[in-house]
Amino acid sequence: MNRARVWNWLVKQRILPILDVLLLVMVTVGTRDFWTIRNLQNLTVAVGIEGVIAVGMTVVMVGGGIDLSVGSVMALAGVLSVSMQRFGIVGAIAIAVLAASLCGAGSGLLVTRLGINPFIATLGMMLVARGAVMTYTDAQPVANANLLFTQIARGKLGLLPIPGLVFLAALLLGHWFLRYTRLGRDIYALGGNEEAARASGIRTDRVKLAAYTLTGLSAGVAGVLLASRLSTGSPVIGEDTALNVITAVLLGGTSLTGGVGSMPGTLTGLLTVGVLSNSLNLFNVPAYYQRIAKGMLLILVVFFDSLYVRYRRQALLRTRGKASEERLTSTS
Amino acid sequence: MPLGWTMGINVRMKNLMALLRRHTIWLVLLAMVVFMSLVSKSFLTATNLLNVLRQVSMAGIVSVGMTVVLIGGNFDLSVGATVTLAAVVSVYLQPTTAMNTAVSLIVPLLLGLLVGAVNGAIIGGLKANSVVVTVGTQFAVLGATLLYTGGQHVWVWTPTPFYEAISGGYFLGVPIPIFIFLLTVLAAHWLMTRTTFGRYVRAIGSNDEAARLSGIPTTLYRMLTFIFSGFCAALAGIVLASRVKNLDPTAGVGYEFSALTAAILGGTRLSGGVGNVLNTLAGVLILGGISNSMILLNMSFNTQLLARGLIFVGAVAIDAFSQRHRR
Repeated sequence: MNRARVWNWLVKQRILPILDVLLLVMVTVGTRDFWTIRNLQNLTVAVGIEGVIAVGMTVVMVGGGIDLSVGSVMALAGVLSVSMQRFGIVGAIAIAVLAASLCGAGSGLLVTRLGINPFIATLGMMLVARGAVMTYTDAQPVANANLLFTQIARGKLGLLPIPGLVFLAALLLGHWFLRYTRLGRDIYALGGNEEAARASGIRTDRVKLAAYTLTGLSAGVAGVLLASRLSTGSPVIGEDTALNVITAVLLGGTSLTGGVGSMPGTLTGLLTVGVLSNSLNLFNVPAYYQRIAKGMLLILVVFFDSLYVRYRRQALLRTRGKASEERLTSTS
Repeated sequence: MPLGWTMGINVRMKNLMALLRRHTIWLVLLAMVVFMSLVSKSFLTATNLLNVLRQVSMAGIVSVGMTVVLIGGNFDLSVGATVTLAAVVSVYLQPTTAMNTAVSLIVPLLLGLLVGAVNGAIIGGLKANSVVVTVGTQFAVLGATLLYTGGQHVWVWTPTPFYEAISGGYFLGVPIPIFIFLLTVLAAHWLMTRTTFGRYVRAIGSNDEAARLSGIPTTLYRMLTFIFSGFCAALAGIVLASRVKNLDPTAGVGYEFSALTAAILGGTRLSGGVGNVLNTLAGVLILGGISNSMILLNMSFNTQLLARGLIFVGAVAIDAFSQRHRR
């Protein structure tokens, strides 16, 4: 019984505690380069840029949706933030973030107005955004000539790189949004049981639309940061962004079925994925192995998510008896 | 007497309308062919049409497997990676002798079955979300392919005539890949309409719980749909390998989207349970016709990418509309 409880706790945490301890021991013992300020700063930038998207992704996944289009939307925003420099830095960034939010809203409309499965709707948005940015740039990277723009993501505040700062701000904002605002609570309700949320007076369509728009916005911010970091708007980046971000969010305890998840959880998931790929780099593991590792990690996480969902269902059955079974099967 | 006669007409008209509604996609195809032959003189020539057919046969074979998985209520986004893996392995095994040719046909097919079985085991056994799982296997398989080739091109200069004929040969003046494609379509159509397998898969796709309660081994049949899809992808990979012979190890990427689009255009329901392999054939032909006409109209590759994305969203939207309408 006790062992079962420990196992269930581990499943709920996606065995993150074990994975993290293993990783930390490995990087501390195996290489001298991990605990250097330079490496930690690089790690912060890498985690920060994808982390901004993960904040948006957590919101949409808590609401029971998903967004596979973040990679191409990020590329679109990055290209726009460079090519629109004639409107000034602020103008260019505003245009880029606005376009990305519109992409998110587009996905949201496909999901709410037409009732399309979120996986497929955002897959479609992914193809359209990629096609749009490839057509717009003719598949060529757009070079940035404005040094000030480059400083945004290359600059540091003390020791902390600005992308890390932006990420922390987004994380705190997201945490506050999900926990303490009405819309945030509505998102939890929506992900937990859409029918019940609608019946209790939540305008589910609007809430969903807001969640997808937020995710698009976060992809836009990440795109601007990345373009500034690279000093280039590249139309081909972001092929595996969705995979990385979704893995991190799932690792952080958000469920694919919606209704559970939190920003602190996402932070731990992000750090785990970040440290994992950072250490693979430090150990000179070829990129192809890393790809395999990332794919397997995603499958492993989905595996634990399924176990967790099953466990939660059994726990609910135990506490509430048979009557809740019908409700569960009708919603899942 | 006149009354009965009119009613007979009515019934016949109704049947005809129902038939048309079920096969609207063929009318769309017809309209497209008429339109294209008016716009471009080179469209309606035997050479161009056979070319289009040969071009679509690989994506078409993949679409057949995708349709079966979709009818079972799942998605398989790993097919593009499986196509790549099969093609690369097939060429890498150097089909220069009879023995090697046999090996480079059998091993990729086995690998396709293996990828399908892994997908099926995870998704069937755990009821895990198929999109996320197959995105994971897609990455794992692509990574494995790149690792296998070291990221380099693989090629074979002098394959055996048999291997060459898989894509380059003609039978009765028609390229062989078209026959392979049509055979796959007919086999899958037979499987889905005339066998227990087909009925079970439809039952699982329309209501998993009901299917399980009525005694269908859902896990097994779910797994079988993925194995079938993996097999189709590997078959397409072999045709691709035989056609290109000098492969970049990402050659099959993107096939999953064409396959999905074709299946959805053919009226396969994304929610599972409904779909027809013959209509997927029409979907494949429409997609092929569209990309052929985009080439004939001199559109750039990137614009074609955008157009394909829009067609995908359009097809999904139409699917969603018709479903809402039925409800």
